Amino acid sequence: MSSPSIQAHNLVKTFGNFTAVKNLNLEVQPGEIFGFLGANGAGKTTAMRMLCGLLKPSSGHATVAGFNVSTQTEHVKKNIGYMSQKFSIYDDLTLKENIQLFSTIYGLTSAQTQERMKQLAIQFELEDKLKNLVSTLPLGWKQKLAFSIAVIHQPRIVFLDEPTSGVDPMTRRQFWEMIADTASTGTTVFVTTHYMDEAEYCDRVSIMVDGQIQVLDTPQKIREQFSAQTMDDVFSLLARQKKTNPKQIL
Amino acid sequence: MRILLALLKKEFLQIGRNTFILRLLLLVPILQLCILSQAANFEMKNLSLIWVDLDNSPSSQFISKKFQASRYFILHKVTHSPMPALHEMQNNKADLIVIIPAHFEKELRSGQSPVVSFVADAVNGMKAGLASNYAAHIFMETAGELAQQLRLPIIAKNFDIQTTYSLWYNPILEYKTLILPGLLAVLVTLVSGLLAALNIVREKEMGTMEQMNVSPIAKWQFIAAKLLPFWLIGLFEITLGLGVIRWVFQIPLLGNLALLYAFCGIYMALILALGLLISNVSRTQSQAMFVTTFFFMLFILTSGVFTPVESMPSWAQTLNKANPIAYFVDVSRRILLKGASFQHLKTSFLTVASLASLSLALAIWRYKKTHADT
Repeated sequence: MSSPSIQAHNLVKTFGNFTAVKNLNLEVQPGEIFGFLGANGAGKTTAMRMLCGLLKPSSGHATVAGFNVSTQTEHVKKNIGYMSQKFSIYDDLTLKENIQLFSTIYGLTSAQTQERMKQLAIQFELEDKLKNLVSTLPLGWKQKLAFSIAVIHQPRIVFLDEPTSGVDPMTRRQFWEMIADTASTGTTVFVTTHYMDEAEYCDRVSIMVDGQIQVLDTPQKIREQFSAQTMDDVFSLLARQKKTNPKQIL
Repeated sequence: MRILLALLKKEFLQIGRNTFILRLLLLVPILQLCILSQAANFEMKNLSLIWVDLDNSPSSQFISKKFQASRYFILHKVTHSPMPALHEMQNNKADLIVIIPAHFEKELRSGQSPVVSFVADAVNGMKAGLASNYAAHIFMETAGELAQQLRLPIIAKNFDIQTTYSLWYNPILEYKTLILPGLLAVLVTLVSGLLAALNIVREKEMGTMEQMNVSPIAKWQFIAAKLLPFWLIGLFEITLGLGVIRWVFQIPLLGNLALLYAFCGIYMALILALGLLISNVSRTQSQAMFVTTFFFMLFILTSGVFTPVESMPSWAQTLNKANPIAYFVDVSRRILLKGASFQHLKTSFLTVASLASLSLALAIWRYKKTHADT
């Protein structure tokens, strides 16, 4: 398990003549919490969708769990969990039905499903909600359910696309505890966010501006490099740089 | 297989929880069959008639009585000059004007042929044609009697030749018998085809499609789980429709029902494949709805449900070879009304089966878990 969980080499995605992701290079180690930061429209989701095998890269090379994301998408999909930016769990099914459906899809036996469901329900405090229709739950609970489903099969890597957007500060905290728990079992966590304070919870972060990674390091080192107090300041500095450099705007 | 079952369970749970779809599935066939079969009717009754009698003789009055006795016409007005009648037609008050010329009876007696004119409002061409036909028919029937009354053996002779005809498979020319199998096609095609297309596009809109695409589920599993429930719904709709035809309209189902179901099974596969194709190219439910309605209108209007295929130009008839509804209408009529056997329908079966496999292959190929754009 010493080989990297995620490896991207010069990954590019263009839509027509717009380049959403320019030469993405990164390497994420097993068990790492990797924060993938950037403003809206910086290309985070596009990059993540390429790594999940949902989007074909225009050029470049990437492997996830050792499988090529362009040619071995189905192998990639077996080894990852994914939580989309937009809530995308069936809201006309109950929590239990959703969990059963996805655990079957990921090949868990019914005994394993039962066990996992119990475990996740306790961990995420969903026990007394299992028989509720998802549509009746508030967003925070829905996000917790989406997260449980993303990790139901204990994947090697879990991709979380802005898991905390729109949830209250309490639930956000809980979320990061859940993320830390998941990483402690050896699962690699690849998470995007635009809350800069959340970057502090990550082992390493990258900041993406206009489809390109501008910085990639531990939060502490990044702050030192920019001699900034918080990640928020770093982000502001980068945004200002972008404005003064017209070539990058193009 | 476990995955397929889990997906099927999910689909049925979702359909079962959607009370709108459930109501739609039960009410649409019943209402549609009952209302459309009554309303979509080519038989003309109660045509508004203006009788312009320039002769005012016993003979003209005799014929006028015959018209009044007919169930096709309602005598709106009797005038003795043409102008007011034409004025009425201008005002949409008359469908047909019959003008009995002056000296009508005199000319009859003297062995000349008087010329009776019909003026029909041909804004609706079909109606005009039928009205003139009915009127001519009444004149023909009456002519013999009239000749007898006037003791005119010469004229009676002109009507010596009698034609005789018999109507097969639909002996009393009941229009419902012809249209009901067609309405069945409308039902299964629109209801299950559209529902299937909308269902898949809804998953796209909700984002749940992405959650499926990022999972290791096989393409065939997803597609089979999507199509199977709607395939069953289609067959259920046909059963419901046949029930209405048999028990509400009392039309005997003559043909081999197993053969009909076999055909419906293949036909549904074709319709669902088309629905899947439409859902592949649509991003939103409204797009899917629009595209489906467009093709559906095209298919239904050229299918022969409402107008005979034989009266279409030859290029349209050629295009019709790719029209699924035309096959369904034709086959269901032949099975239900004529009791046709598989031997008679082999070509239609094979054509629909190949269209179905072609569209299914295309739809499966077109459905992609990994996208090149967006």
